[in-house]
Amino acid sequence: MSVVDAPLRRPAPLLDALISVDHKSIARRMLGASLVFFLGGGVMALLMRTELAQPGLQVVSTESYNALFTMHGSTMIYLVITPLSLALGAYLVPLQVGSASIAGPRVALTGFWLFIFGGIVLEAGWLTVGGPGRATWIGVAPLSELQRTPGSGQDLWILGVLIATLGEWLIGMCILATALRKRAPGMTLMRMPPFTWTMIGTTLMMIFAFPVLVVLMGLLFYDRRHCCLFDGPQGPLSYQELFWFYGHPVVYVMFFPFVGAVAEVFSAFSGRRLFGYTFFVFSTALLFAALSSSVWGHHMFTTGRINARYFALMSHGIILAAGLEYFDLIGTLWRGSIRFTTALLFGVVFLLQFLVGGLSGVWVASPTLDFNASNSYVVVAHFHYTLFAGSVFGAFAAIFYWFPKWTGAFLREGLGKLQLAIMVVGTNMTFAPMFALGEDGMTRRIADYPRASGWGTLNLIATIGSYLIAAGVLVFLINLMVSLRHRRPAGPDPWEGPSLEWATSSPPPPHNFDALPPIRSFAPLMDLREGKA
Amino acid sequence: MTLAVPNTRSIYDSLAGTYVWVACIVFGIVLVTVVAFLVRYRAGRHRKPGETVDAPRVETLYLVVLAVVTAGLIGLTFHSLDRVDRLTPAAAQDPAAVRIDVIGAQWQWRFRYAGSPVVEQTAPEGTPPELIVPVGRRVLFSGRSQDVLHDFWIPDLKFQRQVWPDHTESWALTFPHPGRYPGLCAWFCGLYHQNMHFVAVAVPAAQFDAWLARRRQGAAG
Repeated sequence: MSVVDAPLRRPAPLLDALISVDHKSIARRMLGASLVFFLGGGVMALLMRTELAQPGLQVVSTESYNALFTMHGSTMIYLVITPLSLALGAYLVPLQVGSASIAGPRVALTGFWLFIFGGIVLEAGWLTVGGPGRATWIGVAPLSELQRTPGSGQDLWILGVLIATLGEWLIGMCILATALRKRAPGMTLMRMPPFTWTMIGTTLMMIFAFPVLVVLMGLLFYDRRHCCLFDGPQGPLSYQELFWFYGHPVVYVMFFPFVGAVAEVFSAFSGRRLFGYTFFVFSTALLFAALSSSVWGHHMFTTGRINARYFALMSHGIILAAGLEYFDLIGTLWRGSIRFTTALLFGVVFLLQFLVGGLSGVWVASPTLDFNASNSYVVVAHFHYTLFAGSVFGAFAAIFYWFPKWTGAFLREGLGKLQLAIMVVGTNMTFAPMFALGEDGMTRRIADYPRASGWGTLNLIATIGSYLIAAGVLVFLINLMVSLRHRRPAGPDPWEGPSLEWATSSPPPPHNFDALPPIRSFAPLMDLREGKA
Repeated sequence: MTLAVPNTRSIYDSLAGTYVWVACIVFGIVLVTVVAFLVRYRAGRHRKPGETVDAPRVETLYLVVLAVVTAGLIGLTFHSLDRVDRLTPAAAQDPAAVRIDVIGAQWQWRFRYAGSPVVEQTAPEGTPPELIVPVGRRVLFSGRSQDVLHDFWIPDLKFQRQVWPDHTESWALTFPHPGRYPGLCAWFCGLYHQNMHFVAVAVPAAQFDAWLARRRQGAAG
């Protein structure tokens, strides 16, 4: 018996969870962490909706409410949807391009721990005497300055956002480098799967956008101790300008990966290749990314101090990129052989509900209309239709589709469809009334509204809807437990998927592939099945 | 009743209708197409999935249609923006315009009517101050803040503007009908943000002039 033959000893599971540089392990932990943060952010949302069910203050104080909406937004954006996007990318991009590992595995591991640490720092504000950050998820100066928002909770908020964003940036860069530098032989750029292309669009935006937020948080932290970076006639403008230079692209960081995921889901369950691949790549991954890095000023129309025409023009330009994306996704259903799995249904609902968010996005892209909609519940409805009714439904499509790959077992389809039905009703009950409330003059970030406003009924409907959403999430948690306890094993390729992740076992071995099929198109597994490879 | 002076509400309304219709039509087209495809192309009914991967001519044609619709929307938006942008200089040149300073401070609005002596409208915290304005006449606002960002919003006029310290922002409004227009701060400004209301009370021009003269006398005396 030779020494060489001794099997590599894997570290103990706990240690493995701390230091494993396997991209699949990192991504699984990131998915798990964002699910935990999602439940936390969801409880905050329920508390807010409970308070708003009736006029008057019944459940929480104004101060607590301000902490709740600040931390709900911060948690969901910095600690749930962004890391969820990146976790999907970290897991799938190396597999989809046929690589044995992620580029810069130790950098990715560092990024993961920075994200976790940042999240803990951010949420640690709840344990401080004065409570957590209370200056909105954008931490806007001068409100976030020390004399306006005293207490260490706001400092923890700033540091938490800084650290988590830095970590997310590192992971994003590893994903980009993987797609660009670690592709298998035969995997040319124009043979990369649609999901990988959307991750490229995502991470290209991150290159420029995320460091700006990291630096801005550093400046804000400095400013709270010293002075006067965000004072003076330009100060509040500078803060908004810098923040939205990050804040708009991040909206698309939280969207593109789910477009890519739904493209894969449609392709698999339609039994055909993505329609309009070339246009999809250039519109969604490249044109869309370029445009969405050029529209940050539309968050500042009501300052009257930015070039409204330029930002209106660029923002309307997104219609072209988004329109092509929709055309290609719907085209993939055309003449398909559609199987109505839970993942496909989540994808279809994603498409339709996101459209409400997208079309209301065109509305607020027009300065004349935004002069009324800005900071009203119209905007709250708009971005929840994009981020919740859109991205989160896209995320569930991705989870139901790739869960067998991650664990080797199926999620229950019946429970999945029940969850979908409850969540569709709940989501539209919650967010559709907000359009009417905003148009009628209800502003956001208020714990209470006048009884005479007559907004009680619509708010009550929204609150009931939010509890339905919670019930849907509960069904998902039950599904997760049932499916992991009583496993229904899935083979390597349970759905007949198009791309390389289905060419290896479920879950894949540490080195990802024992052998790769020939890669002659962006759907090598479909080629293989049809005998074209 | 036609008004000589354009107002932000009518500009907004003339644009909003088009956007709503375009949105409804697009949503309808997508919904019908998706449902039709799901029914028509469900598994087991169709023989073999389609193989079209690229249809550049169809997509280019579609892109042209999209671009035309988008250009139309941009044109309408720019036109309405021109109309909004003309309001402030027009009010600044109008000798009949009423000039009012708006001061936002945590958590109350104050309004000062230019002239001598200055008339100030305030209210104790928790009750909304009244902004008395004449119907149909241009009102030129100069806004600033004493502490953090605030946002002056009158939902019935479909218009808001941010104000912040060390900076004066000007905007002009016209109140088309007599009555009470609720107003509020639309930018989160700290603990009691939700209570930062005011009420614009539009009264006939003659009544307004009389009120202002009375207040000036009171202020002088």
